[in-house]
Amino acid sequence: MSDGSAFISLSAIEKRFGSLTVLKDITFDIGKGEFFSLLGASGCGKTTLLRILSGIEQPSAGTLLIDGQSMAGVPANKRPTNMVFQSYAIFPHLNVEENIGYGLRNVRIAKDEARQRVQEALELVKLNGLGTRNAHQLSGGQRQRVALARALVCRPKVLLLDEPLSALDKKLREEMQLELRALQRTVGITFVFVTHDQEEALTLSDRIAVMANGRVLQLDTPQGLYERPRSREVAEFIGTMNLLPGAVSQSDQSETMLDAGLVGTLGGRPIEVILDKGARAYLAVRPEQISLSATEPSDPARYSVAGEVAEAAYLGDRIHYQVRLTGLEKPMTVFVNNTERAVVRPLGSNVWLSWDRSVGLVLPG
Amino acid sequence: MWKRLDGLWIYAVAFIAFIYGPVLLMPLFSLNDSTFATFPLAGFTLRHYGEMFQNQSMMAAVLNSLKIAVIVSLLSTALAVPASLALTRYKLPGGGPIVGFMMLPLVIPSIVIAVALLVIILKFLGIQLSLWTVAAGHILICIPFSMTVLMARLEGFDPSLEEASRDLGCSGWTTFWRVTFPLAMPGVISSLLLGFIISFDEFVIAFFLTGTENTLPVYLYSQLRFPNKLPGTLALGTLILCGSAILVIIAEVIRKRGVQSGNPGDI
Repeated sequence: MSDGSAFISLSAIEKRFGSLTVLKDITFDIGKGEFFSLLGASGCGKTTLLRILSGIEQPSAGTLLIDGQSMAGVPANKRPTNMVFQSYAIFPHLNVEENIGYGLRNVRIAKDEARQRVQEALELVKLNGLGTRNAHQLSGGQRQRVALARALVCRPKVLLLDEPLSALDKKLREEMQLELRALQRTVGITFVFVTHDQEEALTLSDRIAVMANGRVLQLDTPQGLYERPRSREVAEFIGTMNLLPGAVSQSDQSETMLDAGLVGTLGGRPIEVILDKGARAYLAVRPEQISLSATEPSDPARYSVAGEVAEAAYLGDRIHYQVRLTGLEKPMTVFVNNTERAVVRPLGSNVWLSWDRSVGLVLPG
Repeated sequence: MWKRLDGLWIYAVAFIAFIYGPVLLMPLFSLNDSTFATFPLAGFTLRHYGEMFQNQSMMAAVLNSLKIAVIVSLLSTALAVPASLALTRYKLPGGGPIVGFMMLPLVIPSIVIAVALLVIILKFLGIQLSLWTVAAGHILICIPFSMTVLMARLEGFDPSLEEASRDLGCSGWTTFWRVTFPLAMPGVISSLLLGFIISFDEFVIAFFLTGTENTLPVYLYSQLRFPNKLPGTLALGTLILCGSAILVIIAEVIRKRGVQSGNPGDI
C-alpha cells in the first residue's frame, strides 16, 4: 500500500498529436508501492499517459517527476520504469531466457548474476523449466508471464502495464488478476496499470483514475468510486447505476430533494456541491440497493415507487429485473439476491421498488 | 491422379513444358558430342565443360560478373536498409513522394538509364568507364527492389518490439542490432539475393557503361557470332542454372524459417 508520499508526480501534463489534444491538464500523484490504475474507454488517453510515464512518448507540456527526479528529456532507456506491453512484445527471435535477460545486458552485472536473476524471475512468474522454449511455442498466458518477468528482472522503480490481461480468456484473466496482485505485494514496487475493464480495476487497484476524453474525471479508491461517484459519467462507467432525472426542489448539507416528475419527489445525499434550486440533476441508486416487493412497503425510512416488470433474467445467485416506471424513459435495473428461493416475478406484474433514504446520491445533470 | 487427365491437366503440362522446355534444352545440348545444337543427339560428352574452363576470356567475364554482383547486392542492401527504416518507422514529411521517386527506376526503361548514366559519367564527371561504373549503374536499379523487399518486412512487425527494447535500456543503435536487424533478416537475405541476380544477368547498362572488361552477359552476346563457341556457352549456362536453382532454394528455406519464428503477429 501507499505510504502517502508522492513517488510519481504529474502536473499539468498535456499531449497533442498535431491539432488533436489527447491529454489535457493531467495532475495527480502516485504513491510509492501503490497499485494504481488508469481506467477508461478506448481512446480516452490512458495508454498515451502510460507511454509518457515510460518515456516512449514525450508530453507536449507539463512536468513529470519519478522518485523526485524530473523526467524531462530522459529517454525510455534511461528511466527507472519498465513496461509490459499490450501485445507483450516478446522478441520472436529469442527464447524465453534470452527474452527475460534482454534488459540485463544493458546494466553492468556479472554474467553469473544475470543468469541467477533470470532464474529467479522465471520462478517468480512460475515458468521454471521453460527457459529454453521459443517465443512461438508459448501460450498467451505464458507470453504474458515472460513479459512480466522481462520487465521485473530489471528491478524498475515503477512497473507499467498496458492492458496486459485483455488478450487472455476470462478464466485465465481472473487467475492472472489474483497472481498480479500477489506479485505486486511480493516485489513491493509501484504498479501503474492501464485497463478498460472496470471490474479488473476495482479488483486490483489501491487507487483508480477514471479517464475520459483526455481528462481525469475522478481519482479515488475502488470503494470511493463505487460508492461516491462525483459525476454521471463515473457513476455509469463503474458498475451499473440507475439514474432518475429531475429538478432540485430543496437542498441542504445532508439531503437534496429532487422533483422527478411522475415518479414523485425523491431525496439523496449531495456530492461535493450543493445544487441550486431548480437545477437539473440525477438521483443515482445502485441496483443491489433496491428491494422489490408486491405490496407497498410502509417503512418511512425508505423511498418507494411503483412499477411494472419489463424484463427478468435468472442468473442463479441473483435475479436481474428491468422495472418500468411511469414517467421514466429508461427502466430501472434491480438485482435481487437469490437467498431464499425467490420466485421470479412474471413480466407485466406490478411491483414496488424501495430503497433506504440514505443510499441515493444526487449528481449534477 | 490419372482420373484427372482432363483438359486442365493437359493445359498445365503444356504450360510447364512451354516455360521450362527451352531452358532444359541447354543442359541437354551441353552434354551433346557435337558443335551444333541440333537433333539428333550425337553422343554424351563432358568436353564442352573442359573447353569452357580453358576459355580464359569467358572465365574472366564470369569473375567480373560475380564481383560486380556481390558488390552491388551488398551496397544496394546496405543503402536500402536505413532508407526503408526511415520510411516505415517515421512519418516523414513527403514520405509518399519519396517512396515514389525511389521506386521510379523500376519503370524507367534501362536503356534510358544507361544512356543518361553514360552521358553523366563521361561528360559531367569525366570518369573512365570500368567495372565500377557498371556496378554503380546496377546499384541504381537494384535499390528499388531491395527497398520493396525490406519495407514489406519492416512494416510487417510489431513496432512495440522496438519500443520494448528501448524500454529495457537499449539505445536506438543497440535496438537496431539486437531487434530490428535480426527480425529484418529474411528481408535482408531476399534483398541480397535479388540484387545479386539482377546485377548478374543485367545486359543493357553493363553494355553501355563497361570499359575494356566485359561482364558475362556482354561477353556472351559478343560470342554469339561464332558457332563453335556455342557449346561452351551452353555448358556455362547449365552451371549458372544449377547455381541459381540452389540459391533460390536456400533463400526459400530461410524465408520459410523466418515466417515460422520471425513473425511476431502469431500470438
